[in-house]
Amino acid sequence: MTKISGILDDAGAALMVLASLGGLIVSIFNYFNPDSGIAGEPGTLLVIASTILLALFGMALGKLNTGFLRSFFIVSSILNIAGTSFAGYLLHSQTLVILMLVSFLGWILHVFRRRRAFA
Amino acid sequence: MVTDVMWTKYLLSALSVVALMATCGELRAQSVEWSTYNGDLAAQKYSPLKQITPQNVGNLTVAWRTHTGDVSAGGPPPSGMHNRPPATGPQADLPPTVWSATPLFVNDTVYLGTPFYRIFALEPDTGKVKWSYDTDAVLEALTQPDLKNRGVAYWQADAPDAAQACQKRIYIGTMDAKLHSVDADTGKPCADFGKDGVVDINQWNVENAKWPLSILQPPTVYKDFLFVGWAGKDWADAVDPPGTVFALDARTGALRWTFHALDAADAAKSGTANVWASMAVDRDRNLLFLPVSSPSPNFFGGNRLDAISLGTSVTALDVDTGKVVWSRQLVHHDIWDLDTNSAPTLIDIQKDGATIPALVQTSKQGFLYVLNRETGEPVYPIEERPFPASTVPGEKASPTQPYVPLPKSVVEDKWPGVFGLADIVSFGYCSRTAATLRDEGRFTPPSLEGSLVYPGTIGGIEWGGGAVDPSSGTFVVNYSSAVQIYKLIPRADYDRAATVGGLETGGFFPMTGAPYGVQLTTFLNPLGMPCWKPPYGSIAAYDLKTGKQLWDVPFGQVQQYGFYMPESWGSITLGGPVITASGLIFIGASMDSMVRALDLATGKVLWKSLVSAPAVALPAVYEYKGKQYVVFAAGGNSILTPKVSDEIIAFALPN
Repeated sequence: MTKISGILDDAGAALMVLASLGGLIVSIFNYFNPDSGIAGEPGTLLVIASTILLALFGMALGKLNTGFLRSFFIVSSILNIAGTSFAGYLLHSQTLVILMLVSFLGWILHVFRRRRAFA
Repeated sequence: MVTDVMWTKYLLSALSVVALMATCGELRAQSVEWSTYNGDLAAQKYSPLKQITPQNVGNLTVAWRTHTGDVSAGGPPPSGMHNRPPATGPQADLPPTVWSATPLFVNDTVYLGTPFYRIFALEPDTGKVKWSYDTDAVLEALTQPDLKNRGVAYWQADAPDAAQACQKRIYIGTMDAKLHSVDADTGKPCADFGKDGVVDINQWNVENAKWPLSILQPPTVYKDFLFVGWAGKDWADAVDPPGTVFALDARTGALRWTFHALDAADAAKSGTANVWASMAVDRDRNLLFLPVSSPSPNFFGGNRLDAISLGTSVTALDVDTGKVVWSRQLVHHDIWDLDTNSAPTLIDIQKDGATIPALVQTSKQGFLYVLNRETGEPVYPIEERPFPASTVPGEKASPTQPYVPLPKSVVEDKWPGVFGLADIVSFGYCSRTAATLRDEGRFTPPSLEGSLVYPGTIGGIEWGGGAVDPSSGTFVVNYSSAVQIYKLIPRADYDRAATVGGLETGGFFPMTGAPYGVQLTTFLNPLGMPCWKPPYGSIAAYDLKTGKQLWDVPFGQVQQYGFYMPESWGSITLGGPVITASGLIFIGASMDSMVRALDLATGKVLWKSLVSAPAVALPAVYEYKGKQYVVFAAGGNSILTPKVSDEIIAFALPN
């Protein structure tokens, strides 16, 4: 409960997680839908992996307030969002690109949020 | 009183029925057919239909789609698949399928053949299966790396008697050289054709019969003749079955005449120069035009140094006798596998105040040969130009080749050069490799160090050929810009080097009986990127009245690992265009599995739709019950991508 409420307290991280999970669902659908044009393609597998990773990064950011790990995940997340967006563009997966924009919005909200006071 | 009203009603009803019947009759009469592989015997690939226009083509939607079930990506056959006994054990794998079939619309039915050598008859407005016929052909890659089919052919009697069977017939060939004839209305075999509806073409395979004469291209049908060419594997051996075309009686399958591409002396030391693509017919002049392929083996000609005049040619025969009326060789002493690979397009050209009965022969080498179809003489001059000599012991390349300055070749004489991006990401692999290859431009002979060949056996222009608008004389053709490497390997080293067998895209080809085998590769970097500059595929239009190019634009998109590359790069293409009278071009052909409509005036893409695999055949355009349909077989081809399908899909405007 604590973990979940920790993430929900951080709207930016929560938005990142939700958008990446949305991207994951879209990409899995594309991978198995023969009419998607990218079914069974390695590029589709790549964005499946990257959206899973982004969701994990978002969860981690929801728990971390400071320190090297937070900085690491912030940088990794933005690189992941940029890479997944570009991959989505080349895969002609517009929905994935839009969800990555939403994720980017979450990343901004997280980075520029008001920090919780330390006890 | 009541009776008056009733009679009025009856009268109105009767009139309505009569009007409806008249309307149906009109609609039936309005059916516009696509009755042959190329739409018509002149191979114009032109439809007079105008319902779908540049203005409304953006509204096209899927009218129907059907899956035949006849598809394989290689591997074990799926359980429950309509199956037949494999020749080698119960678990024999199925080869991959290549489906280049143009659907036919004729007899109010859509007909198509499949790579499992079945015929499907479909309702033209719903795609529902009326009937299907199974040849029970063995599903083995006997002569090709894949299971292949290019469709079916249709014949009907001059005055069909509805009370008799087989007055209208569908024909399909198989890789194991059987030609089947079935009733077009019922799908039942025509017993009077050969033996129980089947003619074994291999009965005439009497010289160097190393493999069956595979009937992958449907016969060309004219009068009561079936003109049957065949495919083989001219990369496997130096000496092969010599090229032939058989004219059969459409009713009985009896042999009427045989065309031989090689004389007895050449046939003893070489082979092939066969006709594996579709043919064209000039009804007025009673001429049959053959695209004749190269003699065997494909990449070495030391066994055939004497000129083989009909090899790699376009050749005109008398329909009734099979005698050669004229022939024009397009490549002398072909050692590049530049098979003439599509039916020539017949068109009357208005030039300098005269009407010239012409044909346009497209080619892998990228030239458009515009010839007078009565004489074979060039409409625009063809020059004999010198080209490089071979450095391979035992080989002697022709010192000159026919060169076409006008119309401008679709590909340049020199390869496009190293693509910087591909070179950088491969740490200089492309430029390092290019520096080791022999490269003297067009017609650089194969060599022991490896020759950079452009255009290579992929082409240039493949079996789709071009389409023409007969009213304006605008000729449209899609083409590929592909660079390949031909490396001859001395026999003693070949067996050690040949770790991978030959595939559609390249590999090792033994040419057994020749002093060399060959390794054929497409010039890619280790990441799979082309080492040459894009575009990799384009589509161009020409004015046949002047020979001038009207426009030339990149076409399609490369798709690698699912990622679509920029549109300006274009795509390698297989399959051809179709033109409609409304000023549209319909074409599949690209490796991105899209089908498109283009503006004939500019080449601009006006509409596109994703299908389940590249549509590597010609689409069929027809009208049924007042509605225009455009139908693609989306089958795929391993030259483009491993993606294969069994989908046939029809597009039309919404009601």
